[in-house]
Amino acid sequence: MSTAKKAPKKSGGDDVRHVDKPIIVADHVSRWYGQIVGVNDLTVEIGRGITGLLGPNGAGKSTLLKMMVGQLRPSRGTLTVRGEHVWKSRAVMRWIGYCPEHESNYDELTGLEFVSFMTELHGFSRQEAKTRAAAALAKMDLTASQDRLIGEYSKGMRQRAKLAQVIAHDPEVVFLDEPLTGCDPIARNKILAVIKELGEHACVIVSSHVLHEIESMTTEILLINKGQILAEGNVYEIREMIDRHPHRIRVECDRPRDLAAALLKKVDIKSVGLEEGAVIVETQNPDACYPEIPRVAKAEGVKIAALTSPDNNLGAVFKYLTEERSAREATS
Amino acid sequence: MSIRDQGYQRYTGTRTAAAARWTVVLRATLRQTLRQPWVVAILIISIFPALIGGVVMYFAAKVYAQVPAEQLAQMGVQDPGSYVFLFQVRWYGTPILCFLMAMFAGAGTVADDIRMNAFQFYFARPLSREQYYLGKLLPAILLVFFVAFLPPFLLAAVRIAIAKDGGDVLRQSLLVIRALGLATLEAIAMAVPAVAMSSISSRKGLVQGGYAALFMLPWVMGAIVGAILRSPWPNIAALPALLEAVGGEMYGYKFEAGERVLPWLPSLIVIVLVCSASAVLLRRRLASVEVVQG
Repeated sequence: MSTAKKAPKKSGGDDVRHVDKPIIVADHVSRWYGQIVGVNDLTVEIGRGITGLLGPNGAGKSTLLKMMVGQLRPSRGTLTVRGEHVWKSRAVMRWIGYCPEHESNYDELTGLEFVSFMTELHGFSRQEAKTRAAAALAKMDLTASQDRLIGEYSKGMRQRAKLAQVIAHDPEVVFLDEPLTGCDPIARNKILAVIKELGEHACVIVSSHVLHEIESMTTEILLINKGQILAEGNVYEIREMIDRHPHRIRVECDRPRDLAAALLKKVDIKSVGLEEGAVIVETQNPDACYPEIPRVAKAEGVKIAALTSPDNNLGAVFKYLTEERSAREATS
Repeated sequence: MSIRDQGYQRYTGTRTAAAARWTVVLRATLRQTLRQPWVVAILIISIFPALIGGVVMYFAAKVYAQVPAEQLAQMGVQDPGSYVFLFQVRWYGTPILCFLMAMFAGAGTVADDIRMNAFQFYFARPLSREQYYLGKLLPAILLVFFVAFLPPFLLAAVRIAIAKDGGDVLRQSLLVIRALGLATLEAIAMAVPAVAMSSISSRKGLVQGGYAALFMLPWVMGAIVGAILRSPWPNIAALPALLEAVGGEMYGYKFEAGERVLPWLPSLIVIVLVCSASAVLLRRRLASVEVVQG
């Protein structure tokens, strides 16, 4: 009788860092929930690095991510990760890390127990899983709280614990569904830093409905609306498209009327409007306008409380893009 | 000069066998279950039947030792070893403790995961539905088994300790095997339906209430209707009555003529059918599970 032990399985195959082909391929993928379309005939290829999946609430981002991680079966079309069909594929699951959007709490487990448990499910020994879990929690600044029950964590801490279970097993393809939801600024900065670091050695898909969140992580974006890809490419190209339209800036200040008069004389603006305690500026040249407004205000002795752009919200971006598409379709 | 790559090094070490992944779920589920105060309380309380039974059995053995065997046979007195059976399924609460353990440890286990949407974590990992199902089912079976086996095991140990001679020791040692067999059947019969029911709903309280109704109603109704009809058959859906019939056969217990006890074979068939139906339900609920946020 042979006493030789079976050779243990080695992890990995072709590392995504060295793969030039698209890592995620969706080919005419659709998903219906009864009569409701979640994702509609979507075809896309995603390669290395960080890709932002951007869309308003209900656009189909979470449905698409869930199909990409094999938790939803496409009603039609095929979806592959590294050439493998995803639905119920355990081979694919070895490479991926997934951070779901919604709160899923193992309140009776400590942070360390939760992340160790999740890491063990990836085939790490108990000791190795514990070591990796502790390292992942340390990376998320949760070492001091790792032995506390998750039920006692704040929302930001839970979010970081969820991210720790994503990175602990060293995934090659990472899916993060709204990872910054409910985070305080400290947690937000921590998570952003970890995502950027992940992007250096893994394929990372991050979904969000907030443009500036995505901009702070990556330049590669996919815009999704009503279950379809609306635009894809570099975030600056999208910005350029947006900038062809008048850009609105809201300036909250103590003397809006005086500021409005001064701005009209000195800055390249198209129009100004007044709201209670604020000036609404419309300009074709936001890059020049943003630094000029505080200068003018200072010269006039006006105190600015906040300077925001209503056009930075995603609704405006989608309005521009859908209008543009409709116009193009009408012309053709 | 050779330049070495000092960049990011991906893990290339060994991984545990995929087939053993269910043990990870089992350990985590046990850990979570044992943090429930009710579960711990039931584990502690489960020792009491054995303590009471041990004392009763000790004195019974002492008293019966004074009476000649022929006289005992004429009186219809059974060997004190039969107390193991009486304590395991008949009179002193072990079935109730097993039911409570199945309800607390089993009836919430999958429901909790559905409620917390934990499938998102489990099934984004190389874990099959079957491994998950095994890892969730076995902790409930183990805990019910503990409650079902500990008292009769301790009682059997007492009976062996007070054995008259070497032959008696050997004869009474069979009690441990009988207790083991019946405890295994009891654990499976109680835990599998509880875990299966927990896969139906995300509301733990609802599942536990449903399980309690499924356990208690046929038992109470069977007893009432059986008393009116003077028949054991109305008890055919009552799990304690079924276990009593099968357990009596396993222990060789002689029921009195007036006792309405079901025949053991139909009882065993019903238990097997209930467990099989529960296992099929659980498997079907999880086999094609899609993880959709509720």
